[in-house]
Amino acid sequence: MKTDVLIIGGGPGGSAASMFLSKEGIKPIIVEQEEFPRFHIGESMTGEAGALLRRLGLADEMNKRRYPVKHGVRVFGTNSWFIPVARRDEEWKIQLASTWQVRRSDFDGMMLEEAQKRGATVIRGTAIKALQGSDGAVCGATIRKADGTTIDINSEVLLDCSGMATFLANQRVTGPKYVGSYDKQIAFFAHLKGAIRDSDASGEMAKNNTLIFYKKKYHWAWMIPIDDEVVSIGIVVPTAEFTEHKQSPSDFFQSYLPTINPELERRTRAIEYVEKVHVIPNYSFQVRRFCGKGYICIGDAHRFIDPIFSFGLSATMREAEFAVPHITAFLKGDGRDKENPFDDLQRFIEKATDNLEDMVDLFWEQPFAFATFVHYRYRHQLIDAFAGRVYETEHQPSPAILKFRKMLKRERDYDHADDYSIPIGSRYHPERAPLWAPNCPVPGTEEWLREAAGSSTECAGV
Amino acid sequence: MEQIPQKLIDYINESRAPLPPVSDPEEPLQIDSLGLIRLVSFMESDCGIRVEDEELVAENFATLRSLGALIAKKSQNAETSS
Repeated sequence: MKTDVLIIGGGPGGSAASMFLSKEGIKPIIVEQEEFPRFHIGESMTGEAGALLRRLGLADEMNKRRYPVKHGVRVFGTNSWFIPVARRDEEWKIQLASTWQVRRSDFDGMMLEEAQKRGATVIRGTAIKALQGSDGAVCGATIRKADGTTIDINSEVLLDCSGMATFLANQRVTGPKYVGSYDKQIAFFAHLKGAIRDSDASGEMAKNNTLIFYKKKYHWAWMIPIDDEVVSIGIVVPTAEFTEHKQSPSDFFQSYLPTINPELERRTRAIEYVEKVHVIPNYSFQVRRFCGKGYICIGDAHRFIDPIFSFGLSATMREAEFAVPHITAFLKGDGRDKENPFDDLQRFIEKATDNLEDMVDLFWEQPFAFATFVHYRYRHQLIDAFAGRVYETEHQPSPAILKFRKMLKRERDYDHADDYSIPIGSRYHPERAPLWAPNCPVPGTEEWLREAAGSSTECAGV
Repeated sequence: MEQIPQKLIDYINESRAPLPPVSDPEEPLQIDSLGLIRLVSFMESDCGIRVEDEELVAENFATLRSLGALIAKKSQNAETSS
């Protein structure tokens, strides 16, 4: 079987890539291993993610499905601050806007269906092996189909949209997968009814805004409305605190929830679970050489920083959109003889994502300074960053991001090969972020929980 | 502490209400984060003291002693550079 573009993973990254490719007359094959609907985390969108869905012509469908309309993010510490969803107009002036919160089981299914309607072929199966030519170029993948048979699908470009499963990184096709800055964190989350929301239709007190509750460094929670009744609540703490408690994830979630912030406690006195408690430990990582001959990794398939400001869904769909012109040029014959035909794309994506990382790092390292910046020093630039507007090279890195770098005592340098993809923590502190050990597969969550209960938690490398 | 303008001390005491005025330079100011942001804004607009981004760490605003030290350092720097 042959195709121009093979997409591994039918989540929003794969589906968005497929829809943007269809606009260019390219009809990809998408391989998805799970039957939808299936549970997935990452329910909040930035303003730019909403804008992307509008560009795909999906606004009516989003509204028809009654996804909650988000007007901003409220962060509760000892006080609260608010960042509205806003866009930039033609004169680069800030204009209030809105975006959506989504129940992923429904949204991901809708996206995949749309991709299919617009020309993608969807195959139910699991990518088990990357196919490589004699020069190392990726030329497809072996797929085990739902009926147990295997097929080889040959491709000009393979898009790895496999999310945290990091298909190509695990196949050792990319460069190494490094431990990221927030790898010692663990997230617990569930869907619940009965939480108290704000009540306005728009603005700071809008009922469908994202709420973030801050306890202290590395201890926080989110509340994201996913329909009129149900909210997603997650808590994030250092992994060691969970293992010390020796509780099940759901017991830990229930007992820890009221302790995070009085405001969260007030809002969750009468909650009722509609979905079991899920857990993702040690989520932070970064993959080097995530673009190369015959392949591009998108979104979580190459990098995940920290869930705090809901950048995941936005980043994956934006990267998919940005990849498409590079793919069409490659299919027309551009860059075939280059060592890495997608080198420019790789650098572009990493630079933008670094802007987000610097912002997240400053939030954790200097919360008081960050709050001051939100209130008046760099308000517009932070509104941009919260909206996911970090790709506009004429405006980014903004003076705010440059200041954050100075305060974090770090410099970013993109001149040398691809070593900009080594996590900044390990560049300055080599002992801090070791490689994910060669030949040591990253344990799945269930496996990790079993190991954690037996207290041998790390499969860390050297 | 003598470096702190009286109107800034008055502002701090008002911000702390209903707590009594600060009497000990080592006493924690106990102003919440939003109050601290307002305090920085007041220092800049009403006292002419520019607080640099790098100085926005909570420790600088923890007590009258630390705030006085920050202001003293700033006026010293201003003198040496002029």
